[in-house]
Amino acid sequence: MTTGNPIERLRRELPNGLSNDRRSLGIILIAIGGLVLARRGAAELLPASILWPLLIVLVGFGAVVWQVSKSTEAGMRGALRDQRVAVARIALGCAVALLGLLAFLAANVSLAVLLTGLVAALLVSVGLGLVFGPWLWLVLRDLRDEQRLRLWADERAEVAAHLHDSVLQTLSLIQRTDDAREASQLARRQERELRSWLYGRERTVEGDIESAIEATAAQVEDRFGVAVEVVVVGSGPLDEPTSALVAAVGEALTNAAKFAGVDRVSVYAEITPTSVEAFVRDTGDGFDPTEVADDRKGIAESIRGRMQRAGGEADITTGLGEGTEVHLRIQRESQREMQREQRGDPRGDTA
Amino acid sequence: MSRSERLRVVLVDDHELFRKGVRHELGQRYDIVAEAADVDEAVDVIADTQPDVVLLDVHLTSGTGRDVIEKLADRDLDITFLALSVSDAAEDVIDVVRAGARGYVTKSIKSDELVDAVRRVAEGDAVFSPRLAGFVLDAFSAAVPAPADPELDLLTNREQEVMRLLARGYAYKEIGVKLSISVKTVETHASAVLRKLQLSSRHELSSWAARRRLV
Repeated sequence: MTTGNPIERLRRELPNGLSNDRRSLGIILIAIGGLVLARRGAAELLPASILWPLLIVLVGFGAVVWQVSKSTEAGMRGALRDQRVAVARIALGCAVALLGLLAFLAANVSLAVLLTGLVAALLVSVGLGLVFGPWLWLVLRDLRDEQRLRLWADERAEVAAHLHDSVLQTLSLIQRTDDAREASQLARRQERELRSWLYGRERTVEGDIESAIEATAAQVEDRFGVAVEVVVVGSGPLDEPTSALVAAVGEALTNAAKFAGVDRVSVYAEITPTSVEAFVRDTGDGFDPTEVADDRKGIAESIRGRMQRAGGEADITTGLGEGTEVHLRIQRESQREMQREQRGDPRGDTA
Repeated sequence: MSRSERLRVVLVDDHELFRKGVRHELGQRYDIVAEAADVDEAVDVIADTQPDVVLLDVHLTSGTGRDVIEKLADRDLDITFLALSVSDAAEDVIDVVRAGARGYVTKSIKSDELVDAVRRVAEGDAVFSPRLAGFVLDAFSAAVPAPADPELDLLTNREQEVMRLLARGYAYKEIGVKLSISVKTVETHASAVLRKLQLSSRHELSSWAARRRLV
């Protein structure tokens, strides 16, 4: 972006719509045409068979013109939103005009009359075409530009709002902290968040396991104000099973942060080429596994259930006053593929 | 090493606020005989005061904790270093431990744990934060090619178990209970690992540490 507000710049560069005087000139022309016809009709005692069809034609044109001017004057947004309705109206207007012309032709056998009428009608049409043709074209282009501009402005407002809520807030937090680790944690989390926002939906099966665990830990730190110490040994890319493990780590951390009554929780993860193991440990209150409150049990089950659905396991070691350790294990995708190949089952069940 | 009087401690950290905080936390138990903010100042005050323990920040504005240890190495002083840092870069941590620090703790350590860690390094024990234990496991993992000297370049199963439990956040006492061994035996394993970490000739250690920084 260079200097100045880009939207303003673009607005300046856009061609202006037709000025009001040209539009009123067109309307005057139509009125004159109508008056001439009416006078001639009255003077030569021409039957309604000419006048009415012509009036119908005019009504048709009027409908079209009204729709277009309504689009420009009553605001682009409404017209654009009901673009189909607008098109339908214009089409209807044209149909009415055509119907009028046909009625005119059918009702008038007299060649002279037909010619006079045709000439008048032609004059009106040509006048209309001359005035409204370029104007219509310009209006349509104007509409398109306006639409693009609006989309752009909306997009930009959304970007500004998002950056304000995320990046700017994080930057001010980073400036206020002396703790380099906390600062880098904030920065890392912000980077991830920004990336996923910029490059589409949250990427659940990309990235590496360590940063996914750290991001999960950072979320819990933020939400519950506990310190999460993360130690990861080994490295590897996230796949579906390990994503489930990371999610279960998040559940276990949340659980510990909410119920253990401690201000620090440890996460240890060991990544081997075949599997990933994780331990989430607190030295807090613990609980009696045989006498769990319903909500507590729900959380434990959501950890176990999640791991089992992904083909892994979860053990929870705890006791009143003994702290809690959640042990999670899962095989990595590559290992499963190898096993499937060994079984001669290339597209096995992934559930 | 055990003395009846209070341990004498020097704080080396370039953040004054942090030194103040640590002085407050340790001051009740130990004598904080001096503070230093950069490498040269640290070398001077440590040589002057000859403390029992130096709490040493890994990153200093004028250099690293390793520089401090190395500059004091030829003076033949009996000083124990405990590295203390916010850095979680393996390179820095491994560096300062290989230079001779008896342990490494992160700045998020609780007050009472820090008091305890200072006492333990003064008594000759090794102090591993979970992070350092994790680095050790990573550096000595089987994925790294065959070692030149198995005595120094490999961890025994027991040592690995101890490191794993340390990385999981267990204290020595809890590890003893978990493995059904005495706390003293846990200490012995930890010290053996520290020795291997310091003396292992495997060049992979440093290249591993450098690689890890990129992750």
